[in-house]
Amino acid sequence: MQYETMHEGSNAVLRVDLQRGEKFKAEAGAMVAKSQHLSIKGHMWGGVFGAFKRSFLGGESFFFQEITATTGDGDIIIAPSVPGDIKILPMRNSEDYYIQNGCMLAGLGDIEMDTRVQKLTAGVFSGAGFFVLHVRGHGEVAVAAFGAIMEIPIAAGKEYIVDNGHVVAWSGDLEYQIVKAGANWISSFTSGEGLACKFTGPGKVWIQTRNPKGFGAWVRRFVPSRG
Amino acid sequence: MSEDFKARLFEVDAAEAKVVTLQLSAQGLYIKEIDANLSLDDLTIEAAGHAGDRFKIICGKSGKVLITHDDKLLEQLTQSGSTAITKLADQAKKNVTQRHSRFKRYWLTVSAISALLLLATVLAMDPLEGALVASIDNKLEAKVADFLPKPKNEEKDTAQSKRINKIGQRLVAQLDKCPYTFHFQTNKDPEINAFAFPAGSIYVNTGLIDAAQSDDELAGVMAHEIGHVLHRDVLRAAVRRVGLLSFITIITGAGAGSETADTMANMLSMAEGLESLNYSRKQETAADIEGIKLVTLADYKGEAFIDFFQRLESDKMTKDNAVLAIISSHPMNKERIATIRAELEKLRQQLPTKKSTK
Repeated sequence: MQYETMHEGSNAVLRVDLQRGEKFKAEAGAMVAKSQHLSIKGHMWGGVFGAFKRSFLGGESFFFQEITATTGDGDIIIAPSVPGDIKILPMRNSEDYYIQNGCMLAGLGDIEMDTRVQKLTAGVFSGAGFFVLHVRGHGEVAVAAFGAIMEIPIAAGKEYIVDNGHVVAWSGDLEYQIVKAGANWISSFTSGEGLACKFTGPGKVWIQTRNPKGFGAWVRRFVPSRG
Repeated sequence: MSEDFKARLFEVDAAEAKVVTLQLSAQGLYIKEIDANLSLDDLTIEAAGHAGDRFKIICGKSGKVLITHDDKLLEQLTQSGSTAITKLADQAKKNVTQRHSRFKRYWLTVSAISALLLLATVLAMDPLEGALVASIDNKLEAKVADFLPKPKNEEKDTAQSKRINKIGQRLVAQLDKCPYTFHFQTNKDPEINAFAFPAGSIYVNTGLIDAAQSDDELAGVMAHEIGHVLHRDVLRAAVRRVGLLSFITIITGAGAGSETADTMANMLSMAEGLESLNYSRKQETAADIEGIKLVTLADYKGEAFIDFFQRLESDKMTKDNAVLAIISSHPMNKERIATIRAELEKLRQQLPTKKSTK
């Protein structure tokens, strides 16, 4: 299996080349185009209970699609529904990742996906809800986001603060807690930043350069509330 | 030969890890790949990761950090004989266990509090009803408008809307004291149905108007809806729905209106419908009694209400089920007919001496 991200930036797509017999899983409805030898079927990743947890607790699709090169070699192009970038997170060193709801695009390899409960404060204030997706295994995962995706490396013991609406994924080794973005509560809220996630290394965090909720709020300003 | 353990090694100031093999001996912790030995006296051990499901070995002297999920290594470190490291490893083990149980406790607490809040919302409605002034219904109608089934094709100043308004006004004129201002409008929809908002806006679908054969039949359905408003049934349903949506929003982190929140809200309302069938029947009966009282006082034929529903029941075989949704939510069974007839009989004996007191 080989893959590459194309048109990186706001219109990124992921092209995956499969040899006969190879398969991978992608978000339901992500296919843009494919060659004739590939077949697609709905797949409840992790079984019915796993799919239920992921869908209703993790904010992801109930069904993922399993794409298999059944009758020969072929390729498929998949894309997220939002305009934004795609990033491949490597899992070759037994890394595991937490992924923000709705950002998982594809699992390339032998990937296990589960839903994990967060801490009370993180659940209420992180914007990710009480449950986040947790992936581990061997291979790579593709995440998609709104806007571009930036990788922030955080060395052991170092800290980095990210606005909670911009978090896409983070290494399982990182620790994080919810903090005020400003020096005190007043400056936190008057600056418009409110609460943020403070990550402590070692590990990496991937952020999206635009906040989907912030964008939604901006668009709503121009939509007449009554017709 | 000492046992191998796998760990991720982070060098000083590095965020990228490499997988290494560790061996524990009396001399220290040996990292095979880089041929380095870390003295046990230089090491500290902590629970690591957001979920506390792994532990971190930090070498104070070299700044190297090792992260592993391997409990066996922790176990062997506690038995290594070095007092300091034994203590730290033991502490890390406790921390990992504590974090796990803390997570479980957090989740149980959140679930319990949310369940209690939801229960309190439902249970508190009856005692609160008397204390709540009618203006709250008006405010609530505006606030929860997003969660209520909005009329999509509201019609004004048509012959049908004028007819509906005339019937409605004749019905509400029978109420002695009423804190609500009723508005009657038509909604262009083939489904045979009518619905009420908390503060007294009542919508009658054009499908229902077409299906009714007389003003008496329309009056029966509209009076039933007025009954729901007077008994604040809509307010109860709306409060419960808003409560559930807030709960879903917190739990999933999805804003109300997002796909996840909508899916869950739909599933919950389906479950809610099944669960509250008995309660709804009580509410329906109360609305029937209130409605039949108004119909009789307004000098419409009370039996027309029963006839209308029975005719719709007989249309089940020939009409689309979606159009006849009112039948599934308001089945005109023998029990319901008997209650309405008994109420009609009672009213005929009392009239014209008494009016509706609500």
